Amino acid sequence: MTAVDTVGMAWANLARRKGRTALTAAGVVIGVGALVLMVSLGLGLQRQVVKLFDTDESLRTLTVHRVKGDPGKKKSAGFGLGMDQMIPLSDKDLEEIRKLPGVASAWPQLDMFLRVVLEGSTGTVVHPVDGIPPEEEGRYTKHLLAGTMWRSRDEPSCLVPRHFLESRLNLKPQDAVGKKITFSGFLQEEGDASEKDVFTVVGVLGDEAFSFLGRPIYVPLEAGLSLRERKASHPMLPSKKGSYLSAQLRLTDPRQAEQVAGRLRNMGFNTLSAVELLKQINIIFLVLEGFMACIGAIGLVVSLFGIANTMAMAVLERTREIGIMKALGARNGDIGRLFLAEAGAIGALGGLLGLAGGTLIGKGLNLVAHPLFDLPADVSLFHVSFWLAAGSVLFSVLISIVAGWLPARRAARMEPVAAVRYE
Amino acid sequence: MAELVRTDRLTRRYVMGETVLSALDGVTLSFEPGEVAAIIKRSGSGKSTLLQLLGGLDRPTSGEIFVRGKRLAESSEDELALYRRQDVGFIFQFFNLVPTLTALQNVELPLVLAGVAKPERRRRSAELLERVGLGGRREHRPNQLSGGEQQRVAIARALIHDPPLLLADEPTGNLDSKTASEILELLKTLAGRTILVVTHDRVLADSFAQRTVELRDGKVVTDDRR
Repeated sequence: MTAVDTVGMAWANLARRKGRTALTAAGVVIGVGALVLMVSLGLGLQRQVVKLFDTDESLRTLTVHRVKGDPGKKKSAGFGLGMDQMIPLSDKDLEEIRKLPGVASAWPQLDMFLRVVLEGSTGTVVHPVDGIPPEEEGRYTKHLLAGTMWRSRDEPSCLVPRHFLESRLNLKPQDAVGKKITFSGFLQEEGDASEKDVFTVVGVLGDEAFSFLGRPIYVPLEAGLSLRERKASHPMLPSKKGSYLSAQLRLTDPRQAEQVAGRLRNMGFNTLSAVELLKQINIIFLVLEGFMACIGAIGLVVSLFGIANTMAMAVLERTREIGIMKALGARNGDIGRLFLAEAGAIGALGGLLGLAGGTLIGKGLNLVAHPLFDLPADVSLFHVSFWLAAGSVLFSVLISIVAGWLPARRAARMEPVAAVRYE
Repeated sequence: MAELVRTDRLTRRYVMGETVLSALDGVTLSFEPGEVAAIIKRSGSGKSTLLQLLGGLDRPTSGEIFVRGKRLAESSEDELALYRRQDVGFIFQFFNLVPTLTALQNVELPLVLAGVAKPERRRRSAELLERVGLGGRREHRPNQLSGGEQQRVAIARALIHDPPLLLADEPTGNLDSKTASEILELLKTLAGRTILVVTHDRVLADSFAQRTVELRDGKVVTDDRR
């Protein structure tokens, strides 16, 4: 008996018992639907987080700092470290870092949040501000959505992120160019800003210009250091020139991130790289998705008993038919495969409908979540990947075949003469 | 002529609780190719046992069955299935059609099991249904057919793979006398292959077979050739 005939006969048998097939498949539909919905939520969130890290900028840059205690031993300081545990970096440290093979450039991070007032907008917004050294200017030019790079580093000009304009000020990139921005200290009164703190927006940067560390407003590094000295008056944070909480370095090749990080650790520094973080994040999401898949799979496992019951009933009802087929020359394997195909077809049917249902519910929840949580248009909370789709349907087929295994074996082993005698 | 099927001291006992029933008790018979024989047996338990053993549906308690000189007992389950598929055609008293399939699908079932391509098996099944006079009933299901028509479908099904051995178990036992004689006429047209018919009706046996074998208490009591 060919595979095509086996599958065709299995479908025909299921189609003859539509009500029972539908009820049995309904269990699978719910199981697969729940599985797809749960895992797609994990995948959707993972995609959003990974998107922040997996940019060329993120992979090409490395953040360096230094922690008190056993230098270099701690692989990565992570985000949760207290300020009092940090040893500021000096210009001399930066000089040494620049000399390392694989390092294209290194410059201090300002690590500064300022109050920002944009001309024509009401209210202030607190936002990170960082500096761009002269040698790094070139790579920002290609990410400009509007305006230009500053013409002179002596002019008080700045580049603002698109995300900042759109999400916080509801401004289009081209409308922001030419406007004045006034910076004032995070802990200072609003009215203390002088003329030196007023910058002109010369350009707007797209998301690709930024690393996972955030999307700051950029000013020329020297102007930024001067701003920090005047405005960043947090007692725990270094603000004087020549003393920095962290530095950023650019790699000549993103594949060398691990080696360069190793060299820096040998020198007593700590590093934070997108590659390291991505690894950790992916592990966390893998565990999360596995957990969600397990919860979703409970429904599917419950439906397994429904399939087993339906198939056992079918074998009993069709004892005579099995006997006839055997009398006509069906091998045990032909009969077994026919019943397995029927079980598998219930799984395939339920799996496909469940996949469609789970995907549609995810899309519906996405539509509801966007206005509710004010999400950007390109963010999708539920993501059904090809592997999730294929995997969930295959898994339900597999589970169904397992459920049909015992009834199919019973059918296959039925004595033909006993089955024919069965009236 | 070399025999097609031979049995040697064939015995089949059924254990039912504490009693042991001997359906066949040391039966030695042989049938040649093209021979038409009637097995006459008083109504009782194990009436069809000989046909089931000869058709490879059951295994004997002791004794041997040889098909073209090969011992059937040595065959595996799959080899027995292949034997039934290639060499044997069954006609049952209760027709044993698959109720959910149409007449045409029932007839083509042995070819489906043999893996014959759909266009060919459809063609051959339609031809055979035509031959048994049911050309216009091919899309009918068994419950839409009369007893005689169902038995014609079953005969077409038994012939679809052109087997050398046709085993008929009370083929007219469940039909009225007019239909029974029609079926008998149809069976007579199938000469050329070995046909064994089990029946309790001696008149039927005499009108149909060249040879009658009578079994009583599981033993051969007469074996007459005409």
